[in-house]
Amino acid sequence: MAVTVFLRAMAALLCTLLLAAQAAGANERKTVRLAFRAAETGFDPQQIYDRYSVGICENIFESPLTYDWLARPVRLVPLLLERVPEPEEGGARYTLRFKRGIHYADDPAFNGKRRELTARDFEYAIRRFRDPVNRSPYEWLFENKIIGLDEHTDKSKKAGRFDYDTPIEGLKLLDAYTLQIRLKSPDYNFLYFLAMPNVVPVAREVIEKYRDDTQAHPVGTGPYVLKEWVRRSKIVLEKNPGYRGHTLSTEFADAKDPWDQGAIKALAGKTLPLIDRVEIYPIEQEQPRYLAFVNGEHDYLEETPFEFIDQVLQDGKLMPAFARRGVSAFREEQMEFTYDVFNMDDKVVGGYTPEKIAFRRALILAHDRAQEIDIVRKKQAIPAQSPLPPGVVGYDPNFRSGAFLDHHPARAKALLDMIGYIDRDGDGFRDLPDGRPIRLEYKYLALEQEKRQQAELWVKNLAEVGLRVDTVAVQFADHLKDRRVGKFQIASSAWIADYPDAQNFLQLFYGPNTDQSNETRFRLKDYDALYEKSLTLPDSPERNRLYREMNRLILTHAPTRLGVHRTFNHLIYPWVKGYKKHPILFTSFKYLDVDTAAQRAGKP
Amino acid sequence: MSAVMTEAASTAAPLHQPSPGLWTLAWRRLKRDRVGMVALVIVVFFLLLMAGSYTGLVAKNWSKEVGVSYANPSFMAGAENLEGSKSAAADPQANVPYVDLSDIDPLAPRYKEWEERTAKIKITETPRAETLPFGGDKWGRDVILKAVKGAETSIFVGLVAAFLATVIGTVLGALSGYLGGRIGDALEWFYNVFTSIPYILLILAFAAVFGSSPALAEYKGVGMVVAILALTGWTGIYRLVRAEYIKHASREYVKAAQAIGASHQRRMFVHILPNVSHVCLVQLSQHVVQFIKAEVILSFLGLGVPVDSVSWGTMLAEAQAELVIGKWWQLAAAGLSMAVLVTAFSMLTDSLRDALDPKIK
Repeated sequence: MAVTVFLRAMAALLCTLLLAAQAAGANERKTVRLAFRAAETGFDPQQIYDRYSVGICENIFESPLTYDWLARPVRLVPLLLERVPEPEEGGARYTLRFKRGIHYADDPAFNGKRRELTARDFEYAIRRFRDPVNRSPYEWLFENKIIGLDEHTDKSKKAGRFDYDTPIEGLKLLDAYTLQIRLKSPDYNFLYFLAMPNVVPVAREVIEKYRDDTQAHPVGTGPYVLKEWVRRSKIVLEKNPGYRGHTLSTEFADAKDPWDQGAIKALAGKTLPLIDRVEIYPIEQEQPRYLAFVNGEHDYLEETPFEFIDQVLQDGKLMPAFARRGVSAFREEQMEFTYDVFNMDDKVVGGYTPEKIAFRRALILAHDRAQEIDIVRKKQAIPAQSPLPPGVVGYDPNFRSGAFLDHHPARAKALLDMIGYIDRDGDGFRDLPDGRPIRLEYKYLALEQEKRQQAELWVKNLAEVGLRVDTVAVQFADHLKDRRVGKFQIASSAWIADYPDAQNFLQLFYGPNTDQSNETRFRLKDYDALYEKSLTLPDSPERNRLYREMNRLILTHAPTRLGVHRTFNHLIYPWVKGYKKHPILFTSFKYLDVDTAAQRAGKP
Repeated sequence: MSAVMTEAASTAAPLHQPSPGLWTLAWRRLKRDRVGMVALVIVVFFLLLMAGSYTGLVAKNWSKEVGVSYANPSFMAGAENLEGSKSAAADPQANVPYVDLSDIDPLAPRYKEWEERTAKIKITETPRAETLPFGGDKWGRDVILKAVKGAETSIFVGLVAAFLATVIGTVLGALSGYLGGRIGDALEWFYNVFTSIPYILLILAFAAVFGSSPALAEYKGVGMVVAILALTGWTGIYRLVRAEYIKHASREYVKAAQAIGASHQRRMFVHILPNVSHVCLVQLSQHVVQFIKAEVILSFLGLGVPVDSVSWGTMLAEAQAELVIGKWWQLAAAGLSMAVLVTAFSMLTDSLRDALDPKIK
């Protein structure tokens, strides 16, 4: 009898413990950990440039529009706005109606009150892009664009202080929640600007309170807040307790796409976000980044380093070691291109005379792009025929530029001989026609072996045609800055789509964008005229023709060596639910879930 | 006559034979040390290798791509090499004709001349081997030749930087320890400033200054690495040498030298230096090893030898990722070479210290 009572008591105790454990599990905070392949620079949306910082801002701030998470091709949907604005006056006027009742995350700048988002915050953000103090790399978005804004900016520059209060004709606040934007000329891509993760409203009181350190004090209306930031080492995001929540739209999901179905299964009908805490570790070296995932320290690995790709995938299938652990691989042909920029202001590689053009073209022909794809990119890339990656509006699959870009050392040598760049002093290296030695300099990102290999490839390819190149490795932030201000001769670069239109890539060579996104500092009248004309046209054969002409000028004048379009493989552990990579948006935290029990079991 | 002379010479010899000097005695003692001699032979072998590589007698074609990517070592001929195959991905636009640019190309008027010149230039492609004696690297270069060429850079950097650091440390240590006073205080302050900065940060700071200075742009590369390491690595030697000089300055033999009118300079560098030379030598050899390793760090951070050079440091940095994909041979080649040289150098150092220490007879 006593034994029975004891057993019953024990069973009851066990049940209680199990229930308690279950309850604890249900309340357990969901955390994901991952690495970025480069360090962030800060979180002031109007000051940043790199995709890693923008990726963080994506979660803290919200843009007026965004992209449907599952729709492919991508599709604009409202985020802060009530609806996607219709182009008015033939694409020259847009009326933005912001939703009511959206609040910023709490911050001391608000003096303990809840701060509601208004249309003025967005108007303020647009002005911030033009404020010289912010030195925004994306100033070009609103340059020569909004009626009265350029004049206002010029006046402010003369006054030495940017005026945020005087009304501007093209930025009209109709009421607290409505902003009407009037453009100088029609721009059919303008709506895409409104979906960029750094084109977001900010609260003026926050900016003014943290004036000297706005990069460290991002306060937005988004699902996450910045909880901890150890520069270049650790970024922690936590759920914004005041966030209103969002849901997964399944309207445009592909019934045959397993990733869409996985996302629907994990997230549909739930109030998102589900992840409580996100820990991000910038790890520039490929090996520790990869091993952190393999060892289960990180929950998913985006952009698996090419170096290890043969150990992960073979013929597109996961290797058994990963398949056994339930890892899945998301393969993404990213809307991006890599390129090496020639500084067009440089005395040796720059210039527009036939001789200078021939010299750059010879450098391009000397470069072995097939080896770049085979050895550096481990076959995870296709050669770029123009700056436009497949998938963007305006991409022309019938534009093939191989003869201008493919490795041909004999043609490169012949071209150099033809323009008189020959070895004059017998040291084995070519000299300029006036006898001065040619010594080139290639700037690349330090710490990544992949980037070092690219530098090695340049050195050995140019040596084959009798040219000498010194290589300089610099940190990510310095590399960005140097490229922007033209402190380089030849430098590695890459551009990932901010929005899915060819214009986003062709603006990289638009003269007035020099000192911003035009790193080549290419200024060609014909090109600029074509670009400006293309802005006024909707997606049409006529606009595509202009794009094609611009691409032809890029090939003939060679301000850049076009590289490749990379294919990235993202690896995900089975406890991460609902993963899908968006081609434009960088991070996925808002649309993820984690099975915490499986996560605990899977970790070392 | 000659017989008489010989006899006279032989009988007179014991009376006038000079006593063997410090170095002769040291060499005799070293010759008796078997381990030391083996280490010496190994070190000399590496030095010869370095000289041979420098003059182009060996590893002249180290940069030639003779194998497929990550070519297997010959003794692993049948093993799978996933990285060795050429691109399987077909060009998606292979059937699309090239775009015609002749209407806008500034070079169009010279197309014909260009083609004619191209036709005259012959480019020969070297067939690539599937295997190499000890394997190939990513680009298909022979790993053995690479290790030999790497030895040239690493040993050069290690030896020259260590020598310079030892000279700086010894001279400053001697001045501070022997002269003392205000000069000693000033040098102590200078030493404290240097050592208050973490070593790696100091190296990086020097590298940044050297790297960004247009005046020093010409000296980038190996010379810059040597200078950085020498200028940052003298402090330990300084401290030890200073202590030795303080100790020796009051010794009788120094007083005796002073009594016969030897100058400060002579007392410091002719009389005392040989008696502290074992400290300098031990420090020199330790720094050779330390600097070979420091070069690895600098090269890894992109501040070391340039990408067109090879050192054991760059090989180890490359091998870091290769090991994960099962390509161990570059690590083995660089690691083994480095281990053998470092061990031999350390053993030689011990033997030299014993051989040179005047207290050990």
